[in-house]
Amino acid sequence: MSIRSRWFLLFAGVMSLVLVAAAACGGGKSSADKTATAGAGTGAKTATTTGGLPADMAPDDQQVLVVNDGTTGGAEPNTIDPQATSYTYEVSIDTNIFDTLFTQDPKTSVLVPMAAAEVPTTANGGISSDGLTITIKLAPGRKWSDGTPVTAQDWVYGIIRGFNLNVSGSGYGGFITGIKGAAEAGKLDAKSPTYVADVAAAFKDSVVAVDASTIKIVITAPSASFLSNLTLPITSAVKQANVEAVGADFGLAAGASKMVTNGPFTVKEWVPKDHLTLARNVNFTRGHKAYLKEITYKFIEDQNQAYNAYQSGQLDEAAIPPVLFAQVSGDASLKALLRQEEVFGVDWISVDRTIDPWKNKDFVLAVAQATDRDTIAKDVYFNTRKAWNAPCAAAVLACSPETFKTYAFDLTAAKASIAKAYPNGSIPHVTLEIPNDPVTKALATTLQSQWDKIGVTADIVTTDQKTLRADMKGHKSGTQITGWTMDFADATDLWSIFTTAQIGGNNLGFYSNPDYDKLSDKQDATLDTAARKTLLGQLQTILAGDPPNIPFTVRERVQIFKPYVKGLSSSPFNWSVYSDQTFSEVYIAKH
Amino acid sequence: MTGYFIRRLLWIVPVLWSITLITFLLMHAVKGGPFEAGETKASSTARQALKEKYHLDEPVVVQYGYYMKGLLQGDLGPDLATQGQSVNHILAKNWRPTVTLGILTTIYASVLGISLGVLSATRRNSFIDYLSVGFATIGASTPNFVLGIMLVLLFSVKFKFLPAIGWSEDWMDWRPVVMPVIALGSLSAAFIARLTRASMLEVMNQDYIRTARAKGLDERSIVTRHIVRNAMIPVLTAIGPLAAALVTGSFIIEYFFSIPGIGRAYVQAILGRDYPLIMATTLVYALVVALANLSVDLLYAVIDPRIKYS
Repeated sequence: MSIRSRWFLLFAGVMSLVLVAAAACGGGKSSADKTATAGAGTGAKTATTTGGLPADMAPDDQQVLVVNDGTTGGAEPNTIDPQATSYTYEVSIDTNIFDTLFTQDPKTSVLVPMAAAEVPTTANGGISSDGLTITIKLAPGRKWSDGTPVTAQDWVYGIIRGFNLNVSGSGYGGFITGIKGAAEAGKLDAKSPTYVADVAAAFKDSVVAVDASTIKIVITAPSASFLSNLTLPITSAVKQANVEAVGADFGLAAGASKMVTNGPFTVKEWVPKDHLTLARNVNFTRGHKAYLKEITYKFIEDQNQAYNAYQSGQLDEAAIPPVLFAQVSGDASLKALLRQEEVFGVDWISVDRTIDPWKNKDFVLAVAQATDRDTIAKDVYFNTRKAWNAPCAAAVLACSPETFKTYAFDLTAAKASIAKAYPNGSIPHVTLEIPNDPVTKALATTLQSQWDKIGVTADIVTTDQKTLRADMKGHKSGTQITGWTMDFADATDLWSIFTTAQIGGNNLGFYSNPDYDKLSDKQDATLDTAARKTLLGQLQTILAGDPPNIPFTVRERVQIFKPYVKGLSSSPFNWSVYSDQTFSEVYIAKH
Repeated sequence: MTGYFIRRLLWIVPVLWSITLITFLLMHAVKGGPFEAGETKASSTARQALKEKYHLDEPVVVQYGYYMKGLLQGDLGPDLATQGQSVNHILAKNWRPTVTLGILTTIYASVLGISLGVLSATRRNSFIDYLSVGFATIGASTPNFVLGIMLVLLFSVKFKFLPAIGWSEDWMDWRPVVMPVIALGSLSAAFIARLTRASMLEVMNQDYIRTARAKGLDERSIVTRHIVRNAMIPVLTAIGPLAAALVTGSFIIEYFFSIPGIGRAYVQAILGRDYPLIMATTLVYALVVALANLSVDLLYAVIDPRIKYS
C-alpha cells in the first residue's frame, strides 16, 4: 500500500468515526425535546380533578416549559428589578415573579385586584370625594417566597423606590408622576449621599402604610388612569431587607436567584446571553401554586432560528417568522398549534410635524390616504398583521376607527390632498430612514411605490435604530417607522403620547396642538366614564384632521406552542397587554 | 529571542492604547447614544440624570480621561444596558464560549484544510484532488451563516440529532459545538486546503525533493519530513491571522446559534451604543490579534531554522 493510500485511508477512517459517533450520540439530550403524540392545541379549557390539578396534567417532573418568549423577540432582559424594568421582554418576566396591586381582566380588560383586596372606588370609600386620596386594602395572607408576610410597608417601599433615579433611571418613573411629591423627587440630586432618604421624604405624606395591610396614596389631580399605573411592575412591592442584602446585583444576572419574590414563580438561575429559568414559588399564596415546576426563557433573537429550535424539539414555544406564516398556517397539524392574537398595539410611521413637508397637515393626510394597508398586511407581513387606519387599537376605551376614515386608503382623496398641500405640484422628496432588517426594508419599498402614485418620492436610507432615533431627534430624517403597544388598557396610555409634554419622550413626531393638550389632560381628570368617552371622541376628531402619524397595521403576535402546552389564556384581547402574559395557569399535559 | 519576545510584548501596549483612542473617537462620532428618547419610558430628566451619572454629558476628551483612568486600574466600566453589571463581569462570564469556539474552529480548519491540501497535492488529478478542490471552492464561496442555516435545517430540523441553538459548559457535551465549528471554520478550512495544496506542489517540484527520491528515501519520509514541513511555512503564516479572525469573527455565528459569547455581546453593544462594552470587547479582540501574530512570528523560528530573531 502506498503512503498516499494510507493517508487517504487514515482520513477516511477518522471522518467515518466522527460520523458514526455523531449518529450514535444523536438524539435525546435536549431538555425540551418532548415528542408530541396528542393534544388539542393550546388554549384548551383546563379540566380539573378534585385535587385541584388538571386531569390531563403530566407528572411534576415533566412540568418544565422552555420558551423563547417570541412575543417579545427573544431578547435578554437588561434587568428584572421591577422598579428598573422598561421593555416588554423584561416586564413579561417580572409579571411572573412579582404581583402588582391590580391587573386587568383578560376577558374584559377591566381593572381587577391582584395583591389588593378590591379596586378602590368612591363608592367603597377607596377614593376620596375629591379624587385625590386613594386607600388600598391588601388581600390577607400573602407571602414572600421566603415565607414571610407581604406588608403595606413593602408596597410603600417599592413604589417610592420607583422614583429613585439610580434604580429606575431608564424605567417607568414617568408613569407615576401623578403622585404628590413626584415633582420634588425628580429635582433631587441623584449623586447626593442622602438621596435615598431625600426621595423617601418627598413622599412621607403621599405614599404611606397606614397599617400592615393598608396603603394610602395621595395624587396631585384626579386621574382616571392612575390606578392602571398600579398594574405595572414599577409599583410592585419588593422586600427592603432583600434588596439591601443583594445590593447592586438586585435584578441582575448575578443576583437574580437571590431575589425574594411574591409572584407565582421565583428565579432559579440567569445565565447571561443564554437563558433565565424561573422555578415554582412554593410559598405563593394568591391562588394555587403554579402547575409548572420550571420555565426557561431562552434568548434567541433570530426568529427563524428560534423556529428551527422549536422544530428540533429544543423549545416548546416560538414566534412564527412572517415569511413562514403561509407555510405553517397551510399545514393543518401546525395550524392547530398556532396562536395569532391581536394586541393593544398599532404600527405607524411617526412623521416630524415640525419640518417640511410633514408640517403641512394636508401632506400628511395625502400620504396616509396613499398608504394601501391591505397590501402591506398581505405582502409585507404575510397576514401576520391586520390593516388598520386608526392610531388606537379597537379595544382601547372609546377608540373610534370611524373617526379615522380620513386616513383610509383612497388614491382620489390622496391626490386631492396633495394638490391642496402643494398646488404648484413641486412636491419635496421625503426620507424613509429605516433599520437594516428585511421586513422593514420590504415595508419601505412598498411604501415608496405606493406614495409614488401621488407624486411623493421617498428616498430610503438604511441605518441602525440608534442613528435613526438621533436623526429623528435632530429633525434630520422626518420619519420613523414605529408604533405603540399599550402598557395597560386605559386610553390615557395611548393618547397622552401625542401631547406637547411628551416631546423629547415618546412623542417622536414633535406633534403639538394646545387644544389637544387641554383635552388630553381633561379626559384623564374626568372620572365619569360617559363624560370621559365624549372627551376622548373630541380628542380623536382633532387627530383625524391633523394627523400626528400614519397608522398602517394592528400588531399581532403569532406564536406556536407544542400541543402538550395547556392552560394558556385566551381572551378578546388575547394577552394584548403584555402584563397578562403569565404562566401561572399553564401546564404540560400528558403526552 | 527572549529580548525580541519582550520587545514585541511591550509594543502591544502602545498598539492597544492607539486602539482605545481610535475606537473611543469613532464610537462617539457615530450618531445616537445609550439613552435615547422614545426607547424607554424614562423622562428627559431621568435620561439627563443618567448621562450625568456616566459622564456622557461631558466633552469626549474628558470622557476618554475617565475611561483611561478606570482602565489603568483594571476597571472596564459599567455596562450601560444593565446599568449595574460591570463590563469586567460580562467578559468574565462570556469569554469562554468565544475562545473555545475560536480554538476548536482553528483546530478543525487546520486539520481538515491541511489534510485535504496534502491529500490533494500528493494525489494530483485524482478523485481526492477534485473532491478537495471542490470542497475548497464551495467552502470559499459559501458564507458561514448560509452554511449554518443549511446545517441546522439538515441536522436539527430534519434529523433532530444536533441542537439548533445553545452552548454547553460541559466539556463532554460536544453536540452544541459541532455545527457552529463547521459553519465558522469551513471557509478557513477551504482556504488552508488551497494554500496547502499550492505550497505542497511548489515544494514537490524543488530539486532537493528530486534528490531525496534519487537517494532512495521512502515516500513517507519525503512527504512528512521534506515536503510537508517546508510547505507549512506559508500555511502557518496564514493560520495565525486566521486563528485570530476565527476568535474575533465569530459574532455572526454566536448570534445565529445563540451562543453566549463576547461576539454576541459585541454586536448588541454596538447596536445599543453601550460604550464601555464596545471598548472592552474591541480591546480584547485587539489583544487576541496581537498575541496571535506574535505567536506566529515566534513559530517561524521553530519551523524554519533559517529564521533567527535577535
